[in-house]
Amino acid sequence: MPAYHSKVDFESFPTACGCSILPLKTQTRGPAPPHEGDGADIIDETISFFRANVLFKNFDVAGGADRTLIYLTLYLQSCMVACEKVADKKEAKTVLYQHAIKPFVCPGDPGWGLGGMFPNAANREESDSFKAYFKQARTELSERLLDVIYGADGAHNKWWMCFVKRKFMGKELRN
Amino acid sequence: MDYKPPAVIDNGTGYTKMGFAGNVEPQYIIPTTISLPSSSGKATSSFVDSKRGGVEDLDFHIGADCAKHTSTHSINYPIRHGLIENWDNMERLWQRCIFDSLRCEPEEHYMLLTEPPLNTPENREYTAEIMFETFNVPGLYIAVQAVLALAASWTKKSVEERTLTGTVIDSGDGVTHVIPVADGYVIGSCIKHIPLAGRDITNAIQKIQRERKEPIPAEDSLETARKTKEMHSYVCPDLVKEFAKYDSNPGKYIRQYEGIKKGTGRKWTCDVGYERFLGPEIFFNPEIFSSDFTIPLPQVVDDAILKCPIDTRRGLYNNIVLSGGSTMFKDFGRRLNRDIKKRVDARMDANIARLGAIGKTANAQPIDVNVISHHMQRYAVWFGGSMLASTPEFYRVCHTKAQYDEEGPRIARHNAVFTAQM
Repeated sequence: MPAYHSKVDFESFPTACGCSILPLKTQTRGPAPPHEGDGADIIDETISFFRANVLFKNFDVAGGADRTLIYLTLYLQSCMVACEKVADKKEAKTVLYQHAIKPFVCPGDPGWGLGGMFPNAANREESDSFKAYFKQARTELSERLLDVIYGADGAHNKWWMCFVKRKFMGKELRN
Repeated sequence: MDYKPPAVIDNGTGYTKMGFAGNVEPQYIIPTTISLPSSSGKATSSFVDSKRGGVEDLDFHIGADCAKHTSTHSINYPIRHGLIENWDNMERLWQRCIFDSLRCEPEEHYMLLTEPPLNTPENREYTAEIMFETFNVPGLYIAVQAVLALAASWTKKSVEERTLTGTVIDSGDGVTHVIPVADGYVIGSCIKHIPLAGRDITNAIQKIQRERKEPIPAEDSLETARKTKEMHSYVCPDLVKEFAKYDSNPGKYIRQYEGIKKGTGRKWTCDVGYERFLGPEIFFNPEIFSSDFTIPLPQVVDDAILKCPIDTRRGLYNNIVLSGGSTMFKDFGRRLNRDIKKRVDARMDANIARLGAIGKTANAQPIDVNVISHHMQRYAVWFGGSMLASTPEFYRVCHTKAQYDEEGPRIARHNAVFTAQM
């Protein structure tokens, strides 16, 4: 049983740098199409697969949705690292928000650390749409993550924070 | 002639299991170690020896006692990778086993010993020499461990289903073997080894507990991990679903471990969570914890069977037998069965589709995959030996002292296959 792949149907959605622009259940503004129905969106998937997938060192990309999943998984990992020293939930909320909106690079830019798994942006438009979509997705993921890695009492959830040292595929998102 | 029940001694790399045939469990389980005086071989030793009054031959310890005498004696492991390497020490070890642990007269008991697959005939000759000449046993049989493990699984089957064809998965502390056996003969060229076993599970669990920063005293860490493995671990059907179960009902799945700190005697507790199923997962997704070996166990088993002669394969899939302590996890057999079945069915479907594409039809009979779990898994080899040695058939296949005196040690090179039906 290899790592878990996204089950979202990605065929009908456009891509940016190989990542499908998938619908999100979100209030944040951005280019993502609205999510229809009650099913899990890509962010729910990222969170529910995270603890299993982060253990794996190999992942065979089967399509655009998988690349979106990989990016978000690595982003989730970087959120946990950012929160590792933050014991207070209220403070963590700001830290996570700051972490989501801070400038980040897209495939092909200098400082992109993930190598050839994502095709480079062909032009300015593609990199802009990558950044716009993932800014929205990062913000939404940060919001949902807060209640996951912090318990109701406002302290770290140790059943999540124990995965902070793990590196999905031995990689991490630096910029 | 009426003899007392045969003695069964299973010498493994880690532990020696011994007892009398007909019993369900071995009477003695000791580490396969021997410790000899550290000074032996040095120039001064003759002087020291002379002061001991000529009993220096007896100055050695075996098993757990070795650890108590580390200041004066050095430990030796006479068996490495399943094979006997140091015959002098092995003879001493057997001597203590027979006279101190089993407390029997070897002249009165037939003896069943075990050997790993691919043991050399010469080793069997040496073994026979020691057994017949030093201990004067009336009869000896050397059985292959994998075959005994197959026999141990007979308790789960009806009489007509008892075969000596099957795949043995033997997982102890250090290494896991996959051994195909056809009609009582090991298919030596198709044996596979996996460098992951009990010790690696313990290390994985220890790592998880450390990452979660559980308040475990550093010196008890390994012991805690081992106990967690033995008491709480199981195999899960699906990782993500298992994580979800823990989230929705933590009270049911998260357990407490209570320990007592060595030295101070202070009590401490820690939570036992995901490591319960993540530890044994190492067999099914080795890449999680190991970077050198990444092939899952179901695939290794499948590959091993596919290398075997084509007419044996159905029987090998149909009878996959577990043996050794690291196969004891709850649902281990079920998960293995499911994963192997999935691979076999996928391959068969692919073949039918391939034939269909070139305009042919195939009518394949589905392959039965059966992984057999039973209650005797932990000491399966010893139990299989105990069972076979208690049949009348055993005396027929044994080499007797009379034969040995007539022909010499070469008789032990070959040991007839048991066809005993019980």
